[in-house]
Amino acid sequence: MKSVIRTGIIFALLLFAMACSPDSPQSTFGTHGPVAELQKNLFLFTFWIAVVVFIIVEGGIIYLTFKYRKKDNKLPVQTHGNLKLEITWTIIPAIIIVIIAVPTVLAIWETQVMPNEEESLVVEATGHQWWFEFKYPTEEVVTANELHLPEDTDVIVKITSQDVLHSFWIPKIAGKLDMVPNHENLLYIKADDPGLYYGQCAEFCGIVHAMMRFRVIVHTQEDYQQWLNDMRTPPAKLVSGSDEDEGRKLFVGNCSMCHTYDSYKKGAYTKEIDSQYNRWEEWKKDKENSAIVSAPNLTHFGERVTLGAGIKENNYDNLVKWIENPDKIKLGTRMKNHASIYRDDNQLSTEQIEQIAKYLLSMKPSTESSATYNK
Amino acid sequence: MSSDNITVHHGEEINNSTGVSNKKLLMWAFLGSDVMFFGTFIGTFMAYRNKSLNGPYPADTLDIPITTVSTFVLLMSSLGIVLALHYLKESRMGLAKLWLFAVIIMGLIFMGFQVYEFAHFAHIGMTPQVNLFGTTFFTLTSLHGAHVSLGILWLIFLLYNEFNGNLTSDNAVDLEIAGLYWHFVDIVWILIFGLLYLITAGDGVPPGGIPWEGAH
Amino acid sequence: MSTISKPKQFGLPRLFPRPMSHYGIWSWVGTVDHKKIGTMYGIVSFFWFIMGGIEALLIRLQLSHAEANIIDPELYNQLFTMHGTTMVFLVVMPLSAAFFNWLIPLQIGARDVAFPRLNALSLWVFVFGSLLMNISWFTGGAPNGGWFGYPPNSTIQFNPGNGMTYWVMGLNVLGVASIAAGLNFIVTIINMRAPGMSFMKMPVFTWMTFITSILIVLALPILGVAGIQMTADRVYGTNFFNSEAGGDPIFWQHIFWLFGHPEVYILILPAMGIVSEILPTFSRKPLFGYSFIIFSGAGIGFMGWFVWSHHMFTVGLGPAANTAFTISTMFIAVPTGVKIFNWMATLWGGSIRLTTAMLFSIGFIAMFTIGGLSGVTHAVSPSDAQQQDTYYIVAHFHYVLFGGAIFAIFAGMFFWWPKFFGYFLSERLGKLSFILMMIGFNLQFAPMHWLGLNGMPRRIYTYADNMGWELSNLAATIGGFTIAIAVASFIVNVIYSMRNKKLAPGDPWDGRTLEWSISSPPPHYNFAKLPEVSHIDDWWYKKYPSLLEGSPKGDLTPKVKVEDTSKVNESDIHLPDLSYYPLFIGIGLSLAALGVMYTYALVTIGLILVFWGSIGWSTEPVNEPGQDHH
Repeated sequence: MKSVIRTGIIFALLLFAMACSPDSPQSTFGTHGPVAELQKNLFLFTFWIAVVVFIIVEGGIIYLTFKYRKKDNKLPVQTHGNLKLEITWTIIPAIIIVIIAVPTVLAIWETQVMPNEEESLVVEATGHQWWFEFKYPTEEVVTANELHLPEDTDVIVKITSQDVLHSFWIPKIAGKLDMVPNHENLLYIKADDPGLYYGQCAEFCGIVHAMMRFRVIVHTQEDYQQWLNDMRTPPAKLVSGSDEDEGRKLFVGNCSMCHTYDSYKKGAYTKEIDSQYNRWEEWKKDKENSAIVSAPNLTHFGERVTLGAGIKENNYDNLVKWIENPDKIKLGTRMKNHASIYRDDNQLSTEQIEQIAKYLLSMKPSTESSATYNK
Repeated sequence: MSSDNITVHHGEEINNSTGVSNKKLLMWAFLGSDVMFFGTFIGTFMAYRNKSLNGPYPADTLDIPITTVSTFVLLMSSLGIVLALHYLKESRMGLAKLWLFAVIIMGLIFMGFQVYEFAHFAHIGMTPQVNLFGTTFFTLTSLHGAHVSLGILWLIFLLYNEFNGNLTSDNAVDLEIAGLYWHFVDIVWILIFGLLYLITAGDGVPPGGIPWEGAH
Repeated sequence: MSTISKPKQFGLPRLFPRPMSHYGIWSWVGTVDHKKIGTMYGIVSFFWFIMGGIEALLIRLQLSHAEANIIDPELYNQLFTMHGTTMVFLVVMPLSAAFFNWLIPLQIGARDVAFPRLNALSLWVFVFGSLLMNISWFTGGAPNGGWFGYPPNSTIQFNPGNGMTYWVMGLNVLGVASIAAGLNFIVTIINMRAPGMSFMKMPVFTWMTFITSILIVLALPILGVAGIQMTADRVYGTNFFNSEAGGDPIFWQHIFWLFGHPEVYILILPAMGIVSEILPTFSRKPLFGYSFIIFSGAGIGFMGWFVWSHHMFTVGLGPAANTAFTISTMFIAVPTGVKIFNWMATLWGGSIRLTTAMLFSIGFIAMFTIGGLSGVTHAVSPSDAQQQDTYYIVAHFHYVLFGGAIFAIFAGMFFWWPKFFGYFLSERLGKLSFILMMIGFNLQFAPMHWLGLNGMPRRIYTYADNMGWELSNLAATIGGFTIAIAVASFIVNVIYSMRNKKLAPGDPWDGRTLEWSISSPPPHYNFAKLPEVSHIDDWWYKKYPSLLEGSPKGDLTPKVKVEDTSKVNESDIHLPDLSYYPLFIGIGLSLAALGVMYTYALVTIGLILVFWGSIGWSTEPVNEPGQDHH
C-alpha cells in the first residue's frame, strides 16, 4: 500500500514534469501571448497550493494508516470530535480559497473585458461543420482555416457559429471560447511572437469533431500588411491549355458553387457573406441531398499551410488524395457526401483530379499585379 | 396508491417517527418535486418570452375573459374539495359525495375550456411548432392539463370508493392527500394564469419579429 | 393510524394469480422485500458497469496511438455517449440505490421501506428504462450526442435518426424510477426510524441517503423537463432548442447543468456515507466530528445548486456571471475539505485493521482528494478556459467518480457482503483487486491531467502523431485494461467465495450500527423485535456500555449478542405480500416510451398496462385475505 502510493506520487510528478514541456504544438505551457501567460501563471499558482495540500493530505493518510495499525485488542481512545480543531480546518481551507479567489477574479475582469474596438484589430471567426471561417471586416478580407494575425496587437475575435456549437481555441495564445449560433462572443487575444500556432475545435460538434483544426500564423507588422495586400492581389494569369488552366475550368465547373476562389476582387467581401448565407439556406432545404453546402473560401489556396481544416500538410500528393476521396483523410466531410463529383455518374478521372490539384496550388498572389483595392 | 404501509404487526410496534402518515409525507415530498418540474417549465416560458421570430404572438391569440372563467371554475373546485373532505371527516356521506362529484365536474369543465382553447388556437394557426411562444405555451398548459386530468381520474376513483363504502371518515387521509394534490395543481394554474396570460397577453411583435398576418 | 384500511372488497379481476411463494423466480419478480430489490439493483447495475467498462475499453483502444483506425468516428461518438450515460445513470446511481435499499431499513431499525411496492416499481422502471436506452444499439445506432446532449448537435436538424431520441426517452423513464425511489427513502427515513433514533442519532450513511434523496427529488424533475422539451423537439417538431426558430442552445445547458451539478453530489454523497461507516468500524473509534460530517454533507447538497454555470465558463456568459460562479464553486471545496480532514482524524489514534473494505475506503479519500484539488484548479475560471473540454476535465471527474464513487462502492461491497449474503468475500482476492485497481486507475487517469494541459480536447476519436500525446494515451490505455483485470478479479472473487462459503456471523467486523445487531443474512423481517435507540452507533454502545462512562481500560467483551431468531414465531410478523403490478407498470412505461418513437399502438398498449397496473395496485390488499402468510 505504502509503496503503491509512493510510486504513484513519484510517477505522477514525473509525468507532470513532462507536461510542463512547452514544445507540444498545443501545450498550454508554451505560451506566446499575454492571455495564455496569465492563465498559465494563475494555474501554476493554484497548482502549487494544491500540491502543498496534496502532500499534507496524502502524506497524512499514509502516515496515519501505518502509524495506527492495529497492535493489540485494546480499544483506542474514543474521541468523538474536537470543535476547535474542526473549526480550524473549516477556516483554513476558506482562507486558502480566498487567497486563490482574489487573483482569479482580477484575471476574469482582465481577460474578459474587451479593449477599445477602434484601436484593436477585429476578426470574425465563424464555426462551420467542420471548418473555421475568418473574416477581417475592416480590411474586407476573408479566409478559412488559417488565421493571420499581426504580432503585439490587441485583437478582438468576434466568435459565432453557423450550425452547432464549436469552440475557438489557440492553446498557446489564449484559452477557448465557445462558438454558439445566434450569439456573438468576444475573445481578447494578443500574440507576442511571430510563428505558426495550432488551433482546434474544443466543443463536441458531430462526427468530424476530431478533425476540425486550424492554424494561426502570427506575422510581424510588416509581413501582416504584406499578407493583407496579397489577399487583395489577383493570381498570375494561367497559360492557356496548361494543366493548371484545365484544372481551373474543372474547378469553376464543379467546385465553385460552394468554394469561392476569387475574394481578391474588389467588393468580393460582401459578396462572400451573401454566398455563404445562401449556401447555408440551400443546404438546409435538403440536408440529405443538397448539392450545395457551406464550404471554405479557397482564395489563394496555394499559400495555405494545411488542407482539410488543419489536417494534412498542403502539398500536391496530399491534395490529390484529398480530392480523390476526402473520407480517406477526414471521414464524414460534407464535400464527400454532397459534391456532385462523387456521384457515380459524374466522377472525375485521375488526370482531371491532378489538374485541379495543380490549379489549386497555383492559386497565389501574382508578383506582377498589385492589389485590386485598398482599405 | 392505497395502504402500502409495512406497519401491520397486529396493530402494535408501528414505526411512525413524526406522527404524520407516510402517504401524506409522500405527497408533500412529491409536491416539492413537482414544484421543480413546473418551476423549470415556467422558467422556460419566461426565458423565451418575446423571443419568437414570427407570429402569432400572445396579443394575437390569448383571450383573457374566457380563461378568467375557467380559472374561476378551477378555484371554486379547490373550495369544493375542502368541503368534500370536511363532510367526509364528519361522516356526512351524502354531502361528501355531492361535493366530490361537484369537484370532478368543475375539473371536467376546466378541461373542456382547455380543449376548446387548444382547438381554437389550432384553428387560427397557432400550434406548438409555429414559434417559441406556441412551443412554450402548449407544453406548459398541456402538462398542467395532464395533471388536472390525472387528478380527475383519481377523484373519480375516490368517489367510487365512497359509494362502495371503502372511503369513510376512517381513511379520510386518502381524500386529504388527493386534496393536497388538487390544491397544488390549482396554485400552479394561478401562476400560469398570471404569467402566461395576464402578464403576457399584451406582448406583440418583439424586436426582430415578423408581424403576424393571421391564419392562412 | 388511519392509513391502514380494511381489506377492500373491490378489486380488478386478476389475470395472473398473485405470487405468494418465497422461493423461485416469482419470489424475485414479484418481490416487495427491500433486500431482494437491493440485490437486483446491484446485479443489474453491475451488469451495466461491465457494459460501460467495455465501452470505455473500446474508447481507450482507439486512442492508444495516434491516427488509429480501430473504431470509426460515428461508433466512437456512440461509445463515449453511452459510456457516460451508462456510468452515471445505470451504474453509480443504481449501485447507490442498491445500498440504499439494503441498508436504510436495517440501519434505522425498520422492517422495510415505507412503500415496498413503490420500491419494486422503482426497480422495474429502472431495469426496463436501461434496456430501452440500450436497445438503440440494435435499432440503427446508439445515442451519439454526448451524455450532456448539447443542442443543436443533438437536435433533429443536425442529428436525424433515433439515437438521441432513445437517449432522451431513456432518461425520462429512468427519471421516474429515481424520483420514486427518492420519495420513498425520504418518507422512510423521516417516518420509519426506530424509537429513540432522532435525526442526530442516525447513521451517517442514512444521513447521506437522506440528503441524496432530497437532491434526487428536486433535481431529477429538472432533467425531466429538459427531457420532455428535447423529446417534443425531436418527435413533435417544437422549437425549444431549434436555433433556426430562435431557440437558444445555451438554455439547454443551463437546465441540464442546473440538474447536472446536484447530480454530481447525488453520485458522491452515498459514497461519502459508505466511507463514513467503514472508517470508524475499522479504526474502532467513533467518526470524528459526526455533526460536522453531517452538516458539511448538507452544505454540499445545498451549495450544489448554485454552481452549475462552472460547466459553462467558456460559453460566454460574461465576466459577472463567471465571477459569481467561480466564487461559489471555490467555496464548495470548504465542506468537502472538512469531510476529508474529519476522516483523517477518524484514523488518528485508531486501531486500524486494513481489510479490503478499509483499503478501498482509504483509497477513496486519497483519490477523491486529488479530484477535489484538480476541481479547485478549474474553478479558477480564467485558467479553466485552457482546461475546459480537455482531458484535464476527464481526469478530474474520473478521480471524483471512479476514484471516489466506485472505490467507495467496492469498499461497501466488501464491507456489507457478509451482512447481505451471510458469507465473506475473499480478502486475499479482494486485496489483489484493490492493488490492481489502484495501479490501473492511476495509470489511466493521472496521465490525462497532462494530456489536457498539453492541449488534447475531449471527445476526439483520433489525433495527429506530432502532438506529443502518444505516450500518455498509451499509458492510459494500459491502465484501462489493468482496471478491467481488477474488475475481473472481483468477479472471480464473487464466484469463488460463493462456492467456498466462509460463513459470516451477524457482527463480523465488530460493527457500530443496527444492521450488525441481527443475523447474517438478515431474516426477511429484519428485526424480530424493533430496536430502541438511545445513541449514535447504538449497537456499539449496547455492546460496550462502559464506553459511555469514558474511555476503555483493557480488553472489552461485547455485553450483548446478535439477535437470536431461532425462537421467533414468524406468523406473528406480517409483511406485505408479493405483487406483480410494479413489474407491469415498469414494462408499460418503457413500452409507451418506445412507442413515442415508432407507433401510437405501442403507446396505447404501454399506457393500458400502466393504467391497469395502477388500478390493480391501488385496489390490491397489502396482504391477501385468507392466506397463511408464511
